[in-house]
Amino acid sequence: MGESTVYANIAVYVVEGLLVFFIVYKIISARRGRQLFIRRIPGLSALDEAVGRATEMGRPMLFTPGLSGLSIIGLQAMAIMSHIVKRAAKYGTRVIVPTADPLLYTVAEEVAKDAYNAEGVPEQFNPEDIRYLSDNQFAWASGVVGTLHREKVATAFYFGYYAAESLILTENGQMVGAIQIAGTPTTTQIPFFLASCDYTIIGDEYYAASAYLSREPTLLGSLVGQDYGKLTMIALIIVGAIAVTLGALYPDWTVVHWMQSHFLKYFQRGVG
Amino acid sequence: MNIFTRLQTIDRRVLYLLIALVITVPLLVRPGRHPRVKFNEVRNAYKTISNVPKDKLVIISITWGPGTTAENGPQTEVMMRHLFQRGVKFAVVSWDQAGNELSYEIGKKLEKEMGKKYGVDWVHLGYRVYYPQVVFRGMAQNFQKVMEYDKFHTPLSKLPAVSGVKTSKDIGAVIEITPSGTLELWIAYFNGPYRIPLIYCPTAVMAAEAYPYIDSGQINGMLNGVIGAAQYEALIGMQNAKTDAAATSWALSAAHIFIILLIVVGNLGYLATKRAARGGNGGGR
Amino acid sequence: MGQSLHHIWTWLAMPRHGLALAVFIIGALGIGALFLGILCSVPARFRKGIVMAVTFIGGLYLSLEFLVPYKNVHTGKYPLTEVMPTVANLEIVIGCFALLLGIWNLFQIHGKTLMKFGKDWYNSAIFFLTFFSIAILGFLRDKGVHGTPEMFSILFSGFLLSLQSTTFSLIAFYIVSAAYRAFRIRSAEAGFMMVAATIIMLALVPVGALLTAWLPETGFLSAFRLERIGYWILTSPNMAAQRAIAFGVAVGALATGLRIWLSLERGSFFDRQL
Repeated sequence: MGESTVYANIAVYVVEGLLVFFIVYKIISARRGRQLFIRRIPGLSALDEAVGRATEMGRPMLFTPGLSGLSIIGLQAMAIMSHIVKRAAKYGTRVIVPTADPLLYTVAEEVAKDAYNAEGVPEQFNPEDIRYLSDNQFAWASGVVGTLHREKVATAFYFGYYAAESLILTENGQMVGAIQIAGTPTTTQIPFFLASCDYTIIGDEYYAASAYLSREPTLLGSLVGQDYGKLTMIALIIVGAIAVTLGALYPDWTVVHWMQSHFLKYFQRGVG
Repeated sequence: MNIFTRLQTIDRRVLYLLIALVITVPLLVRPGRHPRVKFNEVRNAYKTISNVPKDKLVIISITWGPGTTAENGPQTEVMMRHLFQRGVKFAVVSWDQAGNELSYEIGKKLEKEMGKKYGVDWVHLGYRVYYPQVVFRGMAQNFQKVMEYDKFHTPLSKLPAVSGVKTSKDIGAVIEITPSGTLELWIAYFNGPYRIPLIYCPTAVMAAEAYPYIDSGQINGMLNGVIGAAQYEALIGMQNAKTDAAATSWALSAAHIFIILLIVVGNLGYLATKRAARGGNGGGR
Repeated sequence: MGQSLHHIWTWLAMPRHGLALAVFIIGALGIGALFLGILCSVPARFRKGIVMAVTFIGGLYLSLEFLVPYKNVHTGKYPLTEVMPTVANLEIVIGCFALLLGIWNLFQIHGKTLMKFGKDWYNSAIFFLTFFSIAILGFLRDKGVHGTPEMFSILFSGFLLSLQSTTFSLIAFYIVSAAYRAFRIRSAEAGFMMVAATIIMLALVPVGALLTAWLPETGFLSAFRLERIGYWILTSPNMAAQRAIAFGVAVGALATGLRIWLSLERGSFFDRQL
């Protein structure tokens, strides 16, 4: 096994090429004005209701990007946060943002400042509400729990990368009676959020959030492109399953040999 | 407040006290009986380690800290024990500062118990900064240059256990012991490209996510939390030893039964309250 | 040219000690501040272009390194991969600058609370106390000052690690209250989920196997042993769901990454005028 296997093979070129093509193509067609449909996602529809509740109660809200760093997950959390801060700015409700990553903290500060500016209330922006607590998982979690209790938050949003601390945060949020909405692509934490939050956005719904909230054509186009990408994967799975099944039943067929040498060999079972 | 409403609203402090008792008692009693059932992935982990040639090095990767010692500690111990039993040399590398000390202590304890020697039968490479793209590839291409020295800054060339390890060809398996999502990185940058068997030892909560990789053959075996460690102990002849893994597996049994009982009690209350409400509203649909 | 660049790079990257190290640290900070100053003085209309270009080049390097790895036939090496450690170091350096900003934020918040003796001021005092104790002891320990390793160990292992373990262990309690509160059979789906959860919880622990030990180990009835049903749930329905979510998440991440790389991201601070 050579070092060349560290790099992309033909399967990667084809699959990734198709995915990129669909996403870019759909973005371009959406920008040209094509109308695209997006289904209702209850957790995201409830965001405004949750902001309204905090406003009625006159208590602050909490938004945390979890342990996300300056990564795709973290940037997506920032896009969602931007929407929430804008809504909060409209109603004059405070949003506290405790972060665990110094890089993301600087971005969060900019995003919040920008959101208040966009709503025409730059004076509402309080830099002390965007907080860097610690990059240590449980020190950060303890800090967030303290904030939940001390500030008596009415609404808590958990969007981003989460690990074992998820339940610690949400159970404490539950104790202070906060309405809680969570969204994470981390599959291991989804059950905990489901059990303890009012709404949970799961899996790739997380990546649909910014498109859903902004209805911006570029993002909607990207979302539809993603669906085509998933269809491509489903097609590959079906073809693969047929190829393997035929290979087991009729190993002598020419078509089976062809599939083995032109298709299956790029999707080998086992390490690699 | 009637009994059904009470069943639904037991004070959380009572629940906390009960769960503390339920978990603590088996840990104090320490039953030695190990699980009779062994999952396929645990058997496969055992087979993989049993087949590692004696002239190859096994890498034990530590990404756990004190928080998950209860699960990852017994996993580390049982894997080291099996390697010592077989006489296969191993190198421990920690990507967690606290795990660095904890894993070294486990190694030292077993070394003493099993009459092994540091540097000859095993080494600890200490704490390293976690940059998988760089370190994993480098380790496979030039182990000596990338790892350079052990925990005590002794050059690897002076440690017989690892002095002959040059490239990925000299590595027989990787054992990843972790509470984090590090699995894909090993598959992408080390075990996949260089075709090295991977044994995955996650905390139980992470295990469900790993089954697709077991099915695809990208993981050769797995120890599912502390239960996996207890099953592995049984496989290496410790069926009746009073170990932490065995005691914890019974503590978990008790805790799971307690949680199931609570769910049942809560639902009994819920259903009875619902039925009573229906009755009060005019006797049904 | 390449050779001399290599020499300069090797000289710069050499480990240094004492005064030379201090000079290098101050020099690097100065160059970093100068660079930031230049960036800040760039007219607003050009800033976005610079950010877009840097983002694109960064993404292009990582894409090319994986997708089109050029191999130098003479040396047999991959030049793009060779510079990967440098790229990783660059990321660490940028992260360190951001860490300073994070620490500055902590100092600002806690400093103000302490100066005003505001609400919960003692928390802020504890923050400063622990921050400086562990930082100073860490430096002294590295300098080999007698007794400091033990004191550092008390703070690190005795306090930090114990507090971490304690916080982590809280999950055991919260999981009980969350399960008790949340698992109500409100619908057929909820009932189905509860049955599956119960089977898995029993199947994973030794007591589960004991409960159905009376069933034969082979033959048709053996399929009804708890550990077999639990294992089937884990390796069939669970695996299918995990795969589906993983595919969706991967495609979603690819799309978001692509939008950021090509500066197509919209709807938040990404498309504002800098």
